[in-house]
Amino acid sequence: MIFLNLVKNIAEGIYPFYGSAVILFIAFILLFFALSGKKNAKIFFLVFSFAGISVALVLNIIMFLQKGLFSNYLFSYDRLELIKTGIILFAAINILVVISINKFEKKNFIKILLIFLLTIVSFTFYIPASNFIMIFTSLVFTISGIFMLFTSLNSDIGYTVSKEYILRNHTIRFFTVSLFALALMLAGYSVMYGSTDLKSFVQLIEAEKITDSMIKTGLFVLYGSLFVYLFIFPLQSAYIKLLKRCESASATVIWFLYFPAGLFLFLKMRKVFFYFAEGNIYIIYAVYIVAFVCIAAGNIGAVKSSSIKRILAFFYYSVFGTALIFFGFSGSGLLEENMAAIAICANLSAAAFTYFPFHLLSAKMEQHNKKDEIANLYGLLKQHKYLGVCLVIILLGFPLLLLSGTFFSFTNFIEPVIKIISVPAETGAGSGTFSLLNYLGAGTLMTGVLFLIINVVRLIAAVGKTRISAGDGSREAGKISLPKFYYIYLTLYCLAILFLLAGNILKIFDISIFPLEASEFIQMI
Amino acid sequence: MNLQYINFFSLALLLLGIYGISSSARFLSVIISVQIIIVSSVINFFSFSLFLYNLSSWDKTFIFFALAALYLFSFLLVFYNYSKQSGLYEIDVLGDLRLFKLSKSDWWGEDKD
Amino acid sequence: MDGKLVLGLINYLMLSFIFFLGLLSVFLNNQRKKTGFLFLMFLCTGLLSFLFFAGIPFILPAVIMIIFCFLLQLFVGNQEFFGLRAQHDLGPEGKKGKIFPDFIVNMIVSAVSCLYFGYLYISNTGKFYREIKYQPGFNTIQLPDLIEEIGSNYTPLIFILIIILICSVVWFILMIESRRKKN
Repeated sequence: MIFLNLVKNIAEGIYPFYGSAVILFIAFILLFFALSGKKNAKIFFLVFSFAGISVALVLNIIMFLQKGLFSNYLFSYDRLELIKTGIILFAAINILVVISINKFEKKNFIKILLIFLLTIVSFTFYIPASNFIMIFTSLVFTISGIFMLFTSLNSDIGYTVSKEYILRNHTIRFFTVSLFALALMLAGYSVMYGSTDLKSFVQLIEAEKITDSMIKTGLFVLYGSLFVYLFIFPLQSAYIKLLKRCESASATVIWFLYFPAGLFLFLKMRKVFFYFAEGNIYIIYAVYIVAFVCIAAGNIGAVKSSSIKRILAFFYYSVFGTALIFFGFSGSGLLEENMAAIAICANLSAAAFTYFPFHLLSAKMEQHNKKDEIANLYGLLKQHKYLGVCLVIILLGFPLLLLSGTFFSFTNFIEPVIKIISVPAETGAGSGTFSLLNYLGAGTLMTGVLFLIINVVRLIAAVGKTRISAGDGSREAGKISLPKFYYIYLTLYCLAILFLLAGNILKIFDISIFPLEASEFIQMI
Repeated sequence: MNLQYINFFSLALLLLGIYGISSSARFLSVIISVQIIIVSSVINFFSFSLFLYNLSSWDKTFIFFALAALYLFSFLLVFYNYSKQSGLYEIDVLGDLRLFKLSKSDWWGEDKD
Repeated sequence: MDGKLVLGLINYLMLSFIFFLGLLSVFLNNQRKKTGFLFLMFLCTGLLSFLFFAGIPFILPAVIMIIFCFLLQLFVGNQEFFGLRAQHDLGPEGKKGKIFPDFIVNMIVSAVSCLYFGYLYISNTGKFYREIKYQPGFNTIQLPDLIEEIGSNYTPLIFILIIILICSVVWFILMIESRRKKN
């Protein structure tokens, strides 16, 4: 009875970290087997980890439905935090798939698994953080975990000495930029402290301290640090160079752990952004310009590249740029603030649905052909019809999911553009300057979509193209033997994408197949 | 003591740190520049706490956790750098490790190195 | 001489030392001198914390900073002593200290951006300094109160710190093993 009471008290005390507790429990057991290299132990802990992360994902949702919102001195757990945690745990399952395919044979596999699980636990503490100290410190710890995971995955990968040295240099460049961004963030918080000792962004807005000059300066430094952290153009050098050279599982770590940490910080500051951006032409111009540069430069860079990893690295800017345009629309009054916040999560999900299956397949082809180039896709449709069709669906799904916000419908995110084009005088503040601004935003979005479609068509054309035989029988056009798991994995993603696209199209005709209406969902945030 | 003059010093340190990071080619210079930015933030926290707040624990707590976290990350980075050296002085110490290089291949085309 | 005036003068002196030492450690070429001046800068920061009446609460972070500096000094010493100096030209990677056009552009752009940012900062915060109200006396929290505050409100952070420390121990083992394999 006393024991039950104790368990009950602990359970009450650790909400909303039940999922983190499950993953931590697995990591704790793994700690005792960290030095083991036995195959049976690896299989057991791999299955255990998959099960644990899946249970954590489901447990988070069930416990939130039972217990509801949570808020204290350090944390604030709301519906948006539930979505963010869901995205990260979903990404974690997929990253684990990629890690297990690439690293299972290595002796260090269990150590890598342990580092991975502890990094995810740290991330789940960062997501609901609302207190400045909690946000900053948990972010730094999460980035440290990501660094350790990245370097572990890239150690002992059979590169030549010079190639390994180059990879090391680029890794140091990348993470030193992150360290610089984090130091700048600390500077931003220190400047804000000059005005007030309030402890969260919400308190700042409620106390109406946000218009103080020191707070504004501190926020400017914070946004600057976020700009550096996300490697937005023209600071993209370290990121682009690293992504081409790193091991395939570590690329997914950067895309779906490192960048989401920065995007979630942007989301934590969204109320501050909306406070300043509402009706402020200069901020909205700045947002549209950054979005335009990200989308245009990202897609042009992808068109000129022949390396698949580089193309995907550039594409990622489309994900961020598109979400930023929705923030701009929101500042102009064309879109609800909550929709803009959801846009980032939705775009991340769209990227996950496309990147994981495409990257898994292209990494296998790179391994087979010993080169990372778009020519690896040639002949896929001819030699492996099923995989080719799956890949075409996945590639087509990417721009369409970005436009529809993944779980919503095309109308939710295209509506502002339609408004701007059809009734320009009624948009925004009604002044000429605002109309021009909104044209810029709509133009940016349409340009982005056009560029993205061009790139996607290029990749689809590569899948359909017949490869010239190399003359070597073992590497004939497109022939590659893949384990059954690849077929199952790609099929699941294809079905998911088709379901989402069908749902989004049917929404236009007012037929709903999703469990939740978009408007209900947005009001919940 | 004038708070504004103290903050001019911390601003100068911050700018020195930013300049060092953006223009230095050596790893050690970059790490030192990051330390300078951290010191500038510490000066900000302490000076504001002394002049503007009474018995404030917020700044000291922030500094305690922030420095613990940042120095852990810095140490991991430094350890990684020094554990993966080639042993050749000219490459390890004098090689170009600039963080923000503008090169054509980062915008379009392929990079061959 | 008035105590406050003396305190103020020592404060400005320490700040000047910190800035000057930082300048030297960034711009000098010799690695050992850089780390030496960095250590002195950290020492001055520690002294400055006492002048801000925050010396005792700052002890633990200061110890972390000094340990980091010592480790950096060890690594640099190892590099300086054991690093092989090349007898011949090593190509692009081995070029020493030549000024290339892109380096100059980098320096100019960095300097201009820093100056512009400094100007923005000073012009935006001028109003704040004209309007602030100073506290009547210098009162700072003591170490026992600070520890109690951290223990009562920030336990999850200490928990995450322990998690990441365990993670880093596993990572060190992994890195050392991979280095042994490479050697």
